[in-house]
This record gives sequence, C-alpha cells and structure tokens, in this order.
Amino acid sequence: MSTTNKQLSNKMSKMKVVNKSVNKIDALALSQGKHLFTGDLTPANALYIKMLWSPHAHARIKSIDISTAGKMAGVKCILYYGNVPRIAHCTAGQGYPEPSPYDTFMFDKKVRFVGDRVAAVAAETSEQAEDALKSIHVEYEILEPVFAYDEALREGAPVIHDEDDAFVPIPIPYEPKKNIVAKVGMNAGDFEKGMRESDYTFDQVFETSYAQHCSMEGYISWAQLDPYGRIIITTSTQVPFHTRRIVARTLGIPVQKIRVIKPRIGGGFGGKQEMMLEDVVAMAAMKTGRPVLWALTRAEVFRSGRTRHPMRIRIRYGLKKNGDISAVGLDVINNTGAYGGHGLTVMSCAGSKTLPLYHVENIHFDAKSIYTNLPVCGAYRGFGATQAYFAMESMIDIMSEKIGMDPLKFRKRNHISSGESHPAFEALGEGKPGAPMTIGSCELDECIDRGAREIGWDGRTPHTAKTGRYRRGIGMSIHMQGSSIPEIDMGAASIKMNEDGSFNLLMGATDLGTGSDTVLAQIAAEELATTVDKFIVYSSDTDMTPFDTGAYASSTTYLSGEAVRKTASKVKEQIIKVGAAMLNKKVEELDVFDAHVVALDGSCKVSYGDIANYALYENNQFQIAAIDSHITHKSPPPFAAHFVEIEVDMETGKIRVLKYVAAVDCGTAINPQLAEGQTEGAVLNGISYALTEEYRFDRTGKMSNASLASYNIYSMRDKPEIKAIIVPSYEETGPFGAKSVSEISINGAMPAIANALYNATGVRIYKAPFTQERVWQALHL
Amino acid sequence: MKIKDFVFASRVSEACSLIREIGDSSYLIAGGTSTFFVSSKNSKVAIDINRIPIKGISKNNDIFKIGAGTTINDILKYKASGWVLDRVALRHVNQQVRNISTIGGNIARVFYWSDFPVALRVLEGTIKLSGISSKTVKISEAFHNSTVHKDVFKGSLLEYIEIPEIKKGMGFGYTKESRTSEAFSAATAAAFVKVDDGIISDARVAIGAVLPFPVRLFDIEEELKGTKAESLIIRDLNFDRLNKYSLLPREGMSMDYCKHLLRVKISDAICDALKEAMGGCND
Amino acid sequence: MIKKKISFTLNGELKEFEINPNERLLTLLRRNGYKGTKYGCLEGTCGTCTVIMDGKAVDSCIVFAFQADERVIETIEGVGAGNEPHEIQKALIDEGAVQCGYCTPGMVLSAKAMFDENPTPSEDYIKVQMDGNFCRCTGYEKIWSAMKKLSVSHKLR
Repeated sequence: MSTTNKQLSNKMSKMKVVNKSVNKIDALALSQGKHLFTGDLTPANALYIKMLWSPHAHARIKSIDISTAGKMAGVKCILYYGNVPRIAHCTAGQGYPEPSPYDTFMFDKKVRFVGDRVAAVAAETSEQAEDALKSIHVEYEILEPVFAYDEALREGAPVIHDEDDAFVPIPIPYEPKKNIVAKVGMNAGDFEKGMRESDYTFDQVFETSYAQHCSMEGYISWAQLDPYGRIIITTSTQVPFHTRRIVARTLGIPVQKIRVIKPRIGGGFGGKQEMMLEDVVAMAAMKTGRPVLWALTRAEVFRSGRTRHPMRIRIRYGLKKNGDISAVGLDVINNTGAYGGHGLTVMSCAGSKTLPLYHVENIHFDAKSIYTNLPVCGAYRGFGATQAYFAMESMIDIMSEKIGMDPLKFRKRNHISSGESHPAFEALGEGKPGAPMTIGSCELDECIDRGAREIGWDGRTPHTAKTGRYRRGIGMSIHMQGSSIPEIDMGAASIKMNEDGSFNLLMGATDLGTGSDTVLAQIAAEELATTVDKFIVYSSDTDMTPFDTGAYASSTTYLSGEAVRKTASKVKEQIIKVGAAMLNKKVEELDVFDAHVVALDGSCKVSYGDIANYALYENNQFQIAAIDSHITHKSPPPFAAHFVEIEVDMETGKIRVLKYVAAVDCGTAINPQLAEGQTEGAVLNGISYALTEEYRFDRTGKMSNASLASYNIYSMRDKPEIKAIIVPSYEETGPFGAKSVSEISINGAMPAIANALYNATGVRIYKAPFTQERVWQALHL
Repeated sequence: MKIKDFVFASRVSEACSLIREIGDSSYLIAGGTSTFFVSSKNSKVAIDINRIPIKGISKNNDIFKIGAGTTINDILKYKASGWVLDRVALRHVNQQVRNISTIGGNIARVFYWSDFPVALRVLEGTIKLSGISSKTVKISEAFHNSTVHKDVFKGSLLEYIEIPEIKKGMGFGYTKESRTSEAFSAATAAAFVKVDDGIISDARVAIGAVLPFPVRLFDIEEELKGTKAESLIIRDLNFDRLNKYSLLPREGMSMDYCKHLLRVKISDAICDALKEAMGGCND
Repeated sequence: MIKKKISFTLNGELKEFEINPNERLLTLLRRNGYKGTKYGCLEGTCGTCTVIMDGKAVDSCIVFAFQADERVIETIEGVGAGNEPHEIQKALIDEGAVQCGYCTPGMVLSAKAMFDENPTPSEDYIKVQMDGNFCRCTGYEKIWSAMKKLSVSHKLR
C-alpha cells in the first residue's frame, strides 16, 4: 500500500456514516409508488395544456386565427405571440448572466424547427385542448431550412435568428447573421511547431449525432396561484432557482412573485437543466386563475425537448517515437439546433474536460457552435466531453499502434497526475476564463490496473490473430470530468435542530434521482456525529430552501456537499456550546460522538435530545440552526478507466457487448453503492449511445423515430455484465475527500467500443452511433 | 384508433352475431395492442373476445392446436417435442406485450413487423375461422398475399391454428434482426427443411419486416429441394431472386444493406433449420 | 361520449368504475387516485405503468379500461404498503437499485408477477421476464442482482 493509500485508509476508517452504503432515504416511498412526482401532485381541477407545434423547420407565421378554437368546449385560454410578452431570454439554466444568447421568446412569429412552439391551448381536459388545436388556423411563409454544418456556415445561408432583439448578456462572440452562436478557443505553446517537430502526425475527423436523455419521467410542470396571487410552480427540473429567475424574466414579473417547487424527479441527466414548460403553465395560470398542467407526450419530449449536441471534431496529433505527444489540435463544430442556450458551454467542455488528460505542451483548440433548424440541444451528462473523448481516445489507440506500444502503457506514460497542472484549466471557462488548478487526488493508474485485471487485458490478442464470423475484441479508454464549475456554481444549506435530536436539512441542491438527498444527509450526519435517519431532508423549494445553482456539472456532492458540511460544522459548534453549559465544561474539553456531546476525558456526556430541549425550553433559549454557502476555486476531476469486450458479427456488422468494466476514482465515495449505481447507469447509457440510439430525420427536418420503441435504448435483456470498481482517493478540497461521479462514466463506451472493434477486426470507425450498417460498411467497403 | 363503445362476447357464436350486427364499425379486441397501429377515421365498437374459451395449446397426434386467444407468453412457455413457436415468441417485443398479445391478433392483422405470420408461412398448417360461414383454410392460401388475407379474415373470428409438429429429420429456423431486444424488426426470416438420407426433400422459406406483407421465397425453396443438406449450399443460393421484391428498408437502413442483411438472415434461418434437421452447418 | 360501468377486483377488493370506452386502464387508475402507476411513454414500451392483470404483468397504458372488467388487477398500492415492504421492494432498496424511482413501481410489479409464478428464476429468465421495464438510471445491474439474490434466497418460496 502506498503512503497516500495508508493515509487514506486512516481517514476512511474514522468515518462512521460517510463511505458507507446506507439505503437511499426515499427508496421505500418510491418503491411503494407514493405520490411524489410532479404528475402525482396535480390538483384535480387543473386545466390541461396542449401545444400546437411547428410542422415546419423554418417558417414565418403570416397569420394565426384562434377565434374558432377559443370558443370551443372547455377551452379557457390560448397563448400565442399576439397575447404574451415578447421578452428575449435563454432557457438554459446556467450561471447568470449566462454565456448564451437570449434568442428565445415565449412565443414568436417565427418557427425554427419542427417541434417549435406556435400556440398553447389550456382546456378542461386534454382531449378538449387537443381538439381545439385542430381549429387554430396558421398561415406560414415557409423559409429555406438549414440542417447541416456546412449549409449553416455557407455564405448567404438562410439566417435562423434574424430577429433584432436577440442578444448576448455578456461580451462573447455572437454572430447570428452567420448562424454562429459562439466561438471559443485557446492556444498553448506552439501547435504548428509541435507538429513539425514530431516524428508522426495524425489528422482525423470524427462525428457524433443527436441523442436524448430518455428520463422515464418526461417533461412535466404545473402552476397555480396562491391566495395572495403568487405563482406556485411544481416542476420536474434540475434547476429550480434558475427556473424561477428565467420565468420571472420571461413573464416580466418579479422573482418575488414566483415559487418553484421541485418534488421527486424521474431522472434528468441534463435534459431538465433548462426552463422547459414553466413559463407557459405560469402564464396560463395567471390568465385563467386556475391550476394548469402541461405534460409532454414521449414523441413531444423527443422532438421538442433537449438533446445531446452532435459534433464534428477534427483532431490532430504530433507524436514522437518514444511516445511523447508533441502537439494536439482540436477543432470542434457543434450543432446546437434552433436555440443556443448550451452551445458555448458544451463545446468549451469538449476541450476543457479532455485536453488536460494527457501531457502535451503545444495545444490548439478552436470551437464553433452553430444554429440549424433541428431540435434544440442542451446539457446531457458528459456535456461535450463525451463527444470529444470519442475522438481523443480513439486517436490514443491509433498513436500507440503507430509506435508499437501497448495502448494501456501509452496511456499510463502520458496521462496527467497529482501535482500537475494544465493551461486549459485556466484558459477555458464558461464565457470567461476558467480557474487555474493543480490536480489533487488522482488514482488513474490504479483504475487502469484494476480495470485491466478485471477484463483480462493481458490475454488480449491482436486482430490479426482473429478469424471466423464472430470476432471478439477488447478495448479501453480513460477519461476525466470535473466537479462543479469553479468560481461560478454556488450551493447553500441550512440545518435546524429539533428537540428529539433530529435535524431539518434544507438544501437548494436538487436530487433528481441520483440520491443526493441521501449523500448530503450522510455528510451532515458524519459532521454532526449522528445518523442519517435523524435528518428530515427537504430539497428544493425556492421559498423554503437556500439557493443552489442546481444539479449539473457534477457539482452536488462536491460543492453542495461541502456547503452542507460547513453548515453542519456551524451547528456542531452551537451544540457543543450548549453541551458545555449543561455539563459545566469548557468547549475545548468536549467533542461530539454518537449523537452526544462527550467530555474528552470520558467523565460525562449529554444527548442531542437533551441539548435541543435545553436550548429550546430551559435556559438562554435559542434555535440551534445555521446556514452556510460554498463556492469552489477548483473543479477537481474524477478519473476513470473503462474496458470493454465485444463480439462482432462480421456478416451483419452487429456489435454485442459482452462485458464492461468501469474503474472510477471519485475521491471518497460518500455512498459507494450509489456511486456504483451512477457508474453503471452512465455506462449503459454510454453503450446504447454508441451502438443503437439514433435521431433519424425526414427530409423536412422532422424526427421520424420519435418513440421509445424505435429510438432504441436498452432493456435489462440487452445489458452486458457491467462491473463498476470504485477506486478510493482523497480530494482535500471536497467534503470528506469527495469528488464527483455522476457524469464521467458516460464518456467511455464510445471510444472503448471503437477500440475494441479495431482489436476484433482491424477496422476503425469514425462516425457514431456504430449501427450495424455503419460497422458493416467499415468492414466491407 | 378511437373506441366509442364496447361489448363482450363469451362464445364464438355470440361474437359472430355481434360482428354481423355491428357491421363495419366493429373491431375485435383480444389483447388490444393493434389499436395503436390501426388508423381509422371513424371510431369503432370494440368486441372484447377475451372471454371466449379459445385459449391454450394442445397436441393431438402430430398436430398442435393453438387457440387464437393464446397469448404470446403462453406460446413461449409451452413445452412439447416438435414445438418451435416458442422461439418466435421469445423474440416478441417484451414481457408485458407477450402477456397480452395473442397469436390470433398477431396473424389476423398483419403489420410489417408481425412475427408469427413469417413463421407460420413456413410451418404450414391450417386456420379455423367462424363467421358468415365456418371455414378451415390452409395457411398457404390464407397468407397468399395481403388482399387474400384481408378477404379470408373479413367479418370472421379466428378460432384456432393447427400446425404440424417438427419431427426427426425436420428443422425450423427463425431469425429476427433488431437493434435491441424489443425493437421493431429490421429483417425477419424463417425456414423449414425436411431432410431424407442427407438430401433436402422439402424446404420452405419466408421473409418479413422488409416487405409490407410476408412472402414465401418459392424459387429459393425449389433450389434447396433435392440438394445435399450441407451448410455450403447456402453460399451458392441465388439471392438475386430477391431483386424482384420492392424491399422497404427499415430502421434507417439503406437499400444495399437491407438486401445484404436479408441474405444473411435467410442463410442463418436455413442454416439453423438444417442444423436441427441433421446437426450440420458449422460456420 | 357514453359512460359505462365496469367492475374488477383491485388489490383484493371488488370495485366499480365509470369509464369512457376509449380510456386506457392507466388513466382510469390514476384519475381514481392510484397514482403509483406511472406514465412514461403511453405506447407500451417503457413499463412504468405496469400492473398485474390476472397474474400477468401488463402495461396499463395499452390496456383499455374495459378490458379490465371482471378481471383481477394488482397495482403498486396493493404491494407492501405501509411499513411492511414486500421482499422485492426490500431487495431493491438494500441493493441500491432505486435511483430516481420512477420505474420502480412497474419494476416491482413485473418482478412480483415473475416470482409469484416461479420463486427461483434463473439469471437469464429474469432478464427475459423483466425486459419490458426500462430504467435509465441504474443500467439494470443492481436491479438484476437484487432479483438474483431473491431467487437464491428462497424468500419468496
């Protein structure tokens, strides 16, 4: 055991609640189907919204006639551009002001993709609303649509955002007349020189396509007015506080008028890091005075919801014979669809979350985000890194082969380690420079070694040794992600003590099914030397809980977790003070242990219940409570090494995944079982993203397979054996040594499978998803 | 499709008179899954036929009798020598759908992705219908093409299906290509062979999914008949004969790949059938 | 639209409901307060709306309400309610197989139908029986292992 590991195990052995797989606190109620989700909580008298969606990819609305529909049975209100405020905003829930164009309106005279909003009907029943939609008469002036990168960038291309009131709230490049949403880039060293001085150069283009999160609960929101006229929005969101702010802006009303409640959420994965339906339900509730519900059908979720950015990535490398990488160049174009909320940040992360993984002095990164008349892209687990790792980790294998080095050894030789830094950390932020960072914990070598053992890397044979129709191959990839956005994200929590020694833990942090309520309660319990069951956890509600930027950027455990730990620490101080008064001891002579304040000499102790009673009822009464916030100055990366064994049918091109191993260094796993669960879920999502998931569009730009039956995510029957290995490390800046775990493991499958395909067949694939037809073409054409 | 009213039938005769009575707006519902895929301008009156005792599988001599109301899951779980439809059932959508979908529904309304018609076309046998007149029709006739099929089933209630058991010397192969286990089929093929003294004495091959209605590949069958039962013969099959069909590539496939995939799936199905008939085919 | 009455046994109790003919069982259940049955796709693919009908797991979004007439329906409200979770629920909770929990009620009911019929299913049998319930959070690994453990534990014999 290394010295670090020894120190680590010392720290770990002292922990009583953290690093233990306690049961998720909401698991029982969820498994019993209790009424916990947005749609379960809707009032019986709610109106239903149905939206008229644009059938055209690009058109101007010449006229719209709602008079017939407005008189139809049950119809209470119709919203369209003519009767709502026109206020430019950005639906993406990120920092504020966002590094994104304000290019969206509640309703507009122009539609920019098939599935864009035209008009909303609120009626007594969803059937009545649906019927009324058919009676809204719209005359469109059809405009030439733009679907491809090169079309969008061509001189004289149709301009998707030609309105003059779209703008960016901070000074970043925005050229809507050229369909350019944003540009970012960085240079370090001298890329051209690095290429010149290398022994081998590589230049390859990789492409990825649209994909969707497919949370089992789709988009759903409802709103009602409270007796004082405030708007209460209950919604399936990852960003309740951003949503409150964006709804306020979009409706032109003060933040104070709005309360956003996030109940249990049926999955998000980035898709709900956005204001999606909330402005419309709020507007309709204001107009009608009735509760209003809007739930999208699955087809609507596919067509009008958020998606993963398709990317075209040109990657260049300069390599020395000895295995040193002398230069790397990454040129990225991402298609952000019709609206640009996450255009800049996603492509920025395509560089910032990948480039630092390997030592290389000469770096070129240039990224462009463009508009098209296709569905809107947004945040999706992995956030740009996923797409870029396909290119990067495929190239690492290609380069290793060129110099005859085992790709595993090549990676170990070149990857970043503890104590090292990288210029991309400082250069690439979110609309502004990032934060310089030195890597703290990094057990990537251990991840590689343990993963390699589990998959049987030593028994791997080259493709030249393989024959027959079904050929097996083993591939690997390594990755890093981040933990929160430094200097931007903020989390806050408050804790108050009750007379039985229980605590209310209120957090802005948004549990969207990840188990963060449990994980953060574990952190509080550890700090307060009590148990998880003593916490009444509530998250998140803009009236009740402190602020939090939301559940994204792998931030909740690391950032909000530290906010909770700090808050718990303040409460602990107060508890000890009261204990000191009760026990007649000095504070320095006391500590907390097993829900008691105890004398360090073991002479006396008093229980939390007695302490709370004393503080609330007996003497110098006060509420033991605290609130605290946290921001981070760094975004310590978790690391992972993934290994996969596949079998390829040479006749059909079908790839079957036999076994997948994901070894992850996420710092201290606050709850190892939940950390494994995050890893396994991300892995399977990554596998189907690589192999079967696909957005197919018809000629008009309409998604033609908008159903779960033909989008092709995996069922239990399709899943391979997945082995998650949590490799411990200790991140000094995180709560009890924690980093993040949620996003990183979606990055591995695409490159690892591509590398395994090469190992099985000797054929490379550069375009994802690896449908059997694409693989077959690569094999035979 | 929209349902405006429903009635229950508990006997075949009752269902038949209801069909007559309600006429064109009647719609038979056993499992009901087809209502998602049938489009109709007018709303229908559902005749729920689930209470009619036409469920279950029995074997008499060499013949399996399958009640039209038998669910796909019951087909999957049925075990008997010479029973092969479980292989088709195993690839049918998912458990919830297998639990409610019936074989009657699957073959009475044929969609391009329907599984059982492809298999039944090579297994042969008969179907028993009641209605205006009771009739027993050979599968080869009833599924000759979609127009004939529609006529045969129109205004009738399917009671049961009879298929022969697969005996020694016979083999059945069934292949269905789909992206995931419950995805729509991109290509389906089924094959039946009978081998006597190492020679293929009878062969039937059918394909589905890439066509609106499954077809028998009679010329490929002729080519197989009388040849030595070896896997190698599959390589020599003249697949150019597939060119006469206007194939409809599914699930985003190109025409070239669709044709290629179909050849592979047909070969695999024949190969599996031969393997079962004689334990051959090793590649 | 005409309304008609049907009745079926719901979680052990015979109940009467007024339905409209085009209504699906899922809608009927949810508007009568049985909201443990979730909706995910309304097209019979994802399994979040799974209920047990006459002992078999079915998607209540593709079953017409009238099809339930005279049948026996079990919903999640009838399984391990209160503080007495069913062994399946316990196994899922202990294994860490509940993440967002939206698929869980359906998953529990599919598992219950499976175990009721076969208390010791094999690993592969479990995969086939549970193939109609999508989960996007867990990668199924922990759900599968919870089922495997239950199978060998013989707790449901």
